[in-house]
Amino acid sequence: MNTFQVVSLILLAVLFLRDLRKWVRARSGRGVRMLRCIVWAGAAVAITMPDQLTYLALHLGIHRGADLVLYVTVLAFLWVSFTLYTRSLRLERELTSLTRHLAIRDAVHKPVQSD
Amino acid sequence: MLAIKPYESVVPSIATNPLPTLAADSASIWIVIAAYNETSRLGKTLAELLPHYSNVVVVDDGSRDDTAAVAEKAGVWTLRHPINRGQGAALQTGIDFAIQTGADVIVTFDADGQHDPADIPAILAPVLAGTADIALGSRFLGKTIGMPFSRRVVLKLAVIFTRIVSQIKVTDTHNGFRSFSRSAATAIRIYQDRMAHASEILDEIRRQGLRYAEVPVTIRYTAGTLAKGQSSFNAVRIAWQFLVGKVTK
Repeated sequence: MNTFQVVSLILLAVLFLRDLRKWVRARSGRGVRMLRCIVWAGAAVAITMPDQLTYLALHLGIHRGADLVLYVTVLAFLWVSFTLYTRSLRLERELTSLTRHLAIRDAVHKPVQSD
Repeated sequence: MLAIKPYESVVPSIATNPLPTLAADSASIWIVIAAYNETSRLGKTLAELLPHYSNVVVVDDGSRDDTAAVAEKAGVWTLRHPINRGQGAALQTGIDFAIQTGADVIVTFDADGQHDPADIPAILAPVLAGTADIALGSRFLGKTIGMPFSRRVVLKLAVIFTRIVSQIKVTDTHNGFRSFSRSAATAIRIYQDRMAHASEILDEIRRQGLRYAEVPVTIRYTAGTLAKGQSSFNAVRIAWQFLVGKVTK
């Protein structure tokens, strides 16, 4: 096992245990925690057993394990980007609605002041 | 009230069922002004408007200067966005307020003095006459004072962009001088908080089959308004915001 694999595994183990602990204790959002645990475990398998990753890639019609990781990463990045952008737009609209509500509620109309 | 000037209908109305007409002296006409950091120019704009129109609402869009104080001192309705949300958002706030207050016709007017209050009767005329739901000011049918060549080119490109994307044949696309009937103002909802709202309004006019007319108006450019106005690069950003807004609506 090389240095990169050792360091990565330690980091992934910490992340996995942290999310596993939160998954056990959580009352809501358990699905997201479980998904994160699966991602950390999958990353650990891919780093420690590159041959198995290549084997999986070949079964999917991709020649290299590294290419499989690249494709999955790009797809995940696009999905996350679109999700965050849509959420950001929704928040912007809610912020505008709130701002509008406050502005109309606190409308001011004073008599003309003479200097 | 100013006397109604003869109305020159430039774009033939697509109306088949005329709307009820409104008498200019009895209709509740509201002027909506979105203002951001306009302390230096708002006072003069309001001074020109107030002798003729009593229902004026200024929406201070989170200005960092004394814009709201200037509006309050002038004795107009003053609404304050606690944070800056953009011109489109501010206009929608003012329009919502005017509708709640019972407006029959709503005019959107710039705070910086680019618009001429003498054009208001003309922009009101088609809506009051019931021949249009919305009247759109056009500087290219009217007059421009001090408009740089680069601005003219950008605005002409915007017209072409609008004809392709929104499929509406107008001569001026980003002119903030408009009038809306109460029903049109209620039907159109501005979701583009920033400058792309102008394209969004045109899009909604076509999508909802609203009746519109273009009215010649005068736009006055000064060093101050040009410094604060949209750069050519911003035009690209506005187009991008509009296109993204169309697919994420």
